[in-house]
Amino acid sequence: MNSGNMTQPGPLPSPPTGAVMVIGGGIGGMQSSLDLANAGFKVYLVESSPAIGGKMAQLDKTFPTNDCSMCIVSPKLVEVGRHMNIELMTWSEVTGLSGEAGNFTATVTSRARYVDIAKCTGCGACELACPVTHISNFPEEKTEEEKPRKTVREKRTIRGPGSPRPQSAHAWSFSVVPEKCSQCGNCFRACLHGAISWEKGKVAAVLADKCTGCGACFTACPEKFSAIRIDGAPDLDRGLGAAIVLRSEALKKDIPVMGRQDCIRCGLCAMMCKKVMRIGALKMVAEGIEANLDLCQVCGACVSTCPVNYLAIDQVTNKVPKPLFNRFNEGLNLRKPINILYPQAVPRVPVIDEQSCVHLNTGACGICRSVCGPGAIDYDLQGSESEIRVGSIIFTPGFEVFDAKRRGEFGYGQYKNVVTSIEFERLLSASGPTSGTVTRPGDGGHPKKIAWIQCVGSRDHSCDRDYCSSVCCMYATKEAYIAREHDSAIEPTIFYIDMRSFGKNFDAYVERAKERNIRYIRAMVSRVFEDPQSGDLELRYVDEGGRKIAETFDMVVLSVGIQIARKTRDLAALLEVDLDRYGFAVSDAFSPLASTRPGIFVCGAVNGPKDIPETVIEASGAAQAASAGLAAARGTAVVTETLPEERIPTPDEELRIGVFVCHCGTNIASVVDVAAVAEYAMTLPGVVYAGHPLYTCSQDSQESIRSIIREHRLNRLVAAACSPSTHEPLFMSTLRQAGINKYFFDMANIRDQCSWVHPNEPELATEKSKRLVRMAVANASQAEPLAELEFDVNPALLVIGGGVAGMTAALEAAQQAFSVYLVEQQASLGGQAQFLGRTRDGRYFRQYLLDLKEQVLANDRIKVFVSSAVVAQSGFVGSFSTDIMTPSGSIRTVQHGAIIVATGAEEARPELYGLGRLDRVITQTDFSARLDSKAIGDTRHVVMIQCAGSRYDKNLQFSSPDTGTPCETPEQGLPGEGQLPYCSRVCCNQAVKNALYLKVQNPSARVDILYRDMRTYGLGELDYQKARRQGVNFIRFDPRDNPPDIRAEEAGIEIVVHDPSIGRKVSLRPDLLVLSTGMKPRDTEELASMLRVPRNSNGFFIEAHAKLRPVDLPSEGLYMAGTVHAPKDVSETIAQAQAAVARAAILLSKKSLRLSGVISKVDPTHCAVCLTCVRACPYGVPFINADHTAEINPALCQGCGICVAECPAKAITLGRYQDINLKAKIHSYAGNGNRKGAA
Amino acid sequence: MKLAYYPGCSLEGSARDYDQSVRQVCRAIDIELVEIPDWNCCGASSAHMTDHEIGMRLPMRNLLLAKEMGLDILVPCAACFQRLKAADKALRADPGYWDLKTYAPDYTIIHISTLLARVDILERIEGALVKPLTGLSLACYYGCLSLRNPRVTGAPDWETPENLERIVRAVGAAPVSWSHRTECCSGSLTLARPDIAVRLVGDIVRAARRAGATAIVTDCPMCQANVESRQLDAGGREAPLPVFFAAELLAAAFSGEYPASQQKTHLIAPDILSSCFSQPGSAREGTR
Repeated sequence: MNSGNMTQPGPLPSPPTGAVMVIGGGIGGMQSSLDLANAGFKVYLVESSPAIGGKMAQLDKTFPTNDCSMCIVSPKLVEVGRHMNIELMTWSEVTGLSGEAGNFTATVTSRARYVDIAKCTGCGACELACPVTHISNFPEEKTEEEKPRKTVREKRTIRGPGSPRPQSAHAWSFSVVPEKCSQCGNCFRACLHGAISWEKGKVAAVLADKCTGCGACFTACPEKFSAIRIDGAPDLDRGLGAAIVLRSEALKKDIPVMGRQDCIRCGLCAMMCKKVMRIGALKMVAEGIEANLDLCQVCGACVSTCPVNYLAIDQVTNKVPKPLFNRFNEGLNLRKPINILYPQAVPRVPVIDEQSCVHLNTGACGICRSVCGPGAIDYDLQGSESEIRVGSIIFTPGFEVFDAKRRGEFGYGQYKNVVTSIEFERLLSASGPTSGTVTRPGDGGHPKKIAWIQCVGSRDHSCDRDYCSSVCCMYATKEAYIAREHDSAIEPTIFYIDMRSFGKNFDAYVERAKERNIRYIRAMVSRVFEDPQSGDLELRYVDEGGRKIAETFDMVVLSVGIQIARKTRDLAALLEVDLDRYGFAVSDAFSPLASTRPGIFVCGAVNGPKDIPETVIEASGAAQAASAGLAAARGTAVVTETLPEERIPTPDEELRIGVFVCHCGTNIASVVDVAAVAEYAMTLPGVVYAGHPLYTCSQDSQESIRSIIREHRLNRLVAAACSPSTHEPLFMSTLRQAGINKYFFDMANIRDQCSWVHPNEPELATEKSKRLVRMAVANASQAEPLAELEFDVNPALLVIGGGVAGMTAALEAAQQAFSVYLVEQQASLGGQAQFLGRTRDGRYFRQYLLDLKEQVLANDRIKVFVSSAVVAQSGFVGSFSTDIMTPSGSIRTVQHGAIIVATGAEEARPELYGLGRLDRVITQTDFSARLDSKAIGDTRHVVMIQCAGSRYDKNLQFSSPDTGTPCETPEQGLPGEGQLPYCSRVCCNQAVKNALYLKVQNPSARVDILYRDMRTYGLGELDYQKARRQGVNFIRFDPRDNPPDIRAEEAGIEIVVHDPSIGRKVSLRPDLLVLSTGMKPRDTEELASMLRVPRNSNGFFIEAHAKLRPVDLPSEGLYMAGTVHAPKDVSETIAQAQAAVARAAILLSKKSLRLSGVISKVDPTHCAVCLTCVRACPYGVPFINADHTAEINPALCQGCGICVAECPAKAITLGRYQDINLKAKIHSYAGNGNRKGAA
Repeated sequence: MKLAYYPGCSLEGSARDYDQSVRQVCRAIDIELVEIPDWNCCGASSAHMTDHEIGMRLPMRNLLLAKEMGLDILVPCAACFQRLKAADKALRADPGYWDLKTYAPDYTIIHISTLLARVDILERIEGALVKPLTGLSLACYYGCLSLRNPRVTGAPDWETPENLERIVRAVGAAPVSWSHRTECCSGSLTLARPDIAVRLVGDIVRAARRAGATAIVTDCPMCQANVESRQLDAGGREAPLPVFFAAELLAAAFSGEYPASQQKTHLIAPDILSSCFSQPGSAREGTR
């Protein structure tokens, strides 16, 4: 096909299969799946747990923007769940693989769910009704000794503080069926109230006036006769268990929590035990309940059924109860055997646990099936096995957290108030076990002083976790930050070794945390002691001054590292993918996403520890790598969506508005009374339906919204929920799928604008929510249907920048059969990498660049422009036009559908310590070049200075919280010449690498590295460890408290610095001073304004979303790769270049594109041709046409509305935002609701 | 079961009763102990602090003597255990350095608690009980030498050991959950720096008491002597906690009596244990 086949060497033997299997349904797997499916490939997404979402779904907030993790991931969950070309295979494992790249056959084994996904609506009634809370002691195989054993059974009578009081509320009535009665008298003996009349040889009868409805007679009547009949029990037609659960619920509602102490003789426990669970271990006696301890199977049904909390599990058994912990909540609370993984799960379908379900083990119970309306429960469902043909595979199984018990000195598992960081995430989460209240697990108290201990299972040789987990410094900071937002009385302290906030805007986040009274102590805690009485924890550590400190905290959070699960290693072995000793995938620096087996690609934590945006980048990159070899088969295995015909409303059609007021878990509902808002909405004119779902955005809610639209014949929709910027597209597409024009919609943001900003005034927040809903309803009433324009897409790509990122992107796009224009300012391709020596794994950049260049130049699909620059740019997504100035001075105009910006960065060269003036003072890049050319001579002593001109801390930039994009405040003063305010991420690894290479060439050379925080993240830590073993000296300094005194003159260099590890000053006289100066982006000011995309104050381009769209630029059709985004190393750059192509391929693989219907239109009859709009438009769209009126090209219009506001003649209108819309909103705001009655 | 037995100097001196208890317990549960003939000091006290060579060669001689016996070696003293393990490791790693052609015996060096907490031995213990010590709340205290350094001792869970708890449960007593189980008692500093010893012992005893323990159980003769003696120096209002050997508890529970001679070996009155045996008549009946 083409020569530039980087990821799939060799020709494929037969036509490839246009499908990809993605193993792992976390954020990485979801992103890969979406990118592939949207680019025309069929995806099989295999997830071993019952639902997708992975670790990200368990997190509360995300750093450094404090976005709610669930809020930003849930649209992805929904999109994956409803994508017609992604086949979700949850509760499934890959169990076999044959074939080779292009044509694999994978065996997928799905476990039995016992719930039919096709029938289940995710209502959760089964989980509510299931009475089982513990893992029972089921009898082992009943093969031997069927005879009852004659052993004496241990019995215990459970007594309350007072005597039992019969409670006849919701009582059932009992009677004897004479024909069935065997006249045994069991019922007579069981009744404690004299309500049975019986004599030997006679049929028994119930005396209704004495009967209290406890059912003792019913329980006592032998199974084979079943002569007692129940009447007046609601839900009995579904089954006795369902009726018991219902009555128990009714009683619980009746009896206030305070009044619950004595047995109320409802008899539900005994009936549940005997007649539902078929055990019969409980019996009512005069003093209370008699429990037969040996019979009890410890399922917990009696305890959960008891309406007054009279029974406790340890009272009814002599065995050790085994609670059924909720794994999604990290075991912090209990779950039922039938369980939906989490409220927003996709698919929102429960799984029945084979280990604890009573029915599956003994055949008893069966309550869930009896309460399931749609009949989705099927105990006979079997696991299945399927063979699936795919062209390639993406392996992204994710990580598990380190087992904190292995660091016994911290007492995890022994001390109740020591928790892991992932447990703390669940404690913070609104949908977690404490509904977001930070409490101590030991006593439920509110902790004040909380300590985070870093590097538990990271950077730790003693437990074979030598690597750095990369994310813990930031998540601990975030957890401390959020904990204080939940409860401002909390005083967080973070104990750390090095603060590894090396990502984009991370340092600013840490600084902000410090401003919020989060204490950082550079110390490793040696031991934790619990006071057994108070549960408080004493931490011992040595502070920076060398003093031994013992400090008491209320709670300790262990920042556990990430590790690769045993299961993942087994799976990798099955797939024949090589892993390193820690379980991370073995890959090459120059093809970072390719595993050792051709056709299998890796992304996410299995490819080395990393955070969410890095995972998302790799996921998109893996999608590219996996599909590049399958380009010929694009579109062969997919189906396309057919939307129902859009219903055209008649002009006089009555308004039928549906309002959905979202709980957002507890995000909204904990402050705003959503039920009241919904009730209020019903009173508004035109509203015919109002509901308040727990999560309006969840997949099952979309389905129910569609059916509600049909059922109530709705023609307008209003969602009162979160931010339209994240969720509007979802609701609008739901509307469209129901056959309604998607612009018949409005959204009221009652989360950001009500519950979040007014958490302390719930009543006023509710009132405000009502007003916002009122306004949204008024606006929806005035909505008009808008048409969306369709444009052709030009399948060519423009890549700006010919470094590693640009060349990789060009080659990858060419493999996807797109034409590429590659523009490079310099005379030759190569970029900054030309000046680099070797990678960490010893590969030479020089050879790599030569190969890359050769492939680019030989590729017919790539047109290279060197010594050229982009000088003008116009057009819109799918159809851009760009002028390129060629070396001859002529302009070449190219047409293309997408743009990748890869202009890169260069090494900073600040005027520091004589750099540029003295031969003995050089940068790391200079040093690596000298090492490569073996030109270090007799250099015997090298001092390296980290952060030389970087992390310049007077100018730390702050990004504001809770917004998708980091917006940075203007600088207060320019940093010094060449001084960079941010961390350049790569320099610590680079310094260690160069120090090691020097040690190879000259083992006796002395190297001192002066650093602030060694940020050798991920597997770079192994080299840091190696360097220390080889005698490289690391001396920490602090630019404020302990700056090194550096004198660099012609005569020599002298450095005096206080070494905290030995507690005294050292004087160094090196032969060479090497500065780690960091990297600064190229000058792209002009380019950015030409492309109309924002850069941050440091000159890096700002991504569309810091967490989930790290490759996209905010404008449609523009993407970025490499160091133009933020500092990164070459592997990360290559991954992002692949990712950018994957994102562009979604666009370029489409024949045509739909654009938003929200665009400005000029009414020519009113246009005065004043040119106001022409001048006002920031995108330069309006022009004066041949008819001498202003015209706006609908394809270019961004719908910002500036021209509409500026036009003096009011000749321009913008769909959805016309005067009638805004007037309706304003009127309804001012008015008192314009209730139906009044209207 | 037959084991080579290395008592060490402590068990011939300050902890002579420990030696008796260990022998008594092993007899009761059918473990035959064969004392290593002509054994010498393990080198723990002064040798390894003074001269590495001597510190290693002393335990090595014991190992070479034991090698002839072909039996696993039981060591009741934590310090002896640590030194023998260290010597064994060094020999296995590089026998040539220590003037041996080969060294690869298949014996293991077992600390007393590791032996007693084995599942099969626990069963024997439960079977041999005459007077279960129900009602005793005990703080199991390991100290450092039998566990650390884990690369030497081979302890799988050096921060969270369970052996003493298992033994205590087997004799019917209740181990408390507490924080200072593996803290150093300062045994090696007790004579040179009594100020430190008093403080560290004070911390340990305070933690045990707060957790509800009425006595401490250990398997190290230095810890036993140090924690008892330094409590007396510390004074204080609260009654001091006696420190028992696990083997001592077992011997009493097996024999059904806690003889006065044994009681006298404690610096702190072991009333809490002797009160379990306050009815001599019934205890007498129990003996075989």
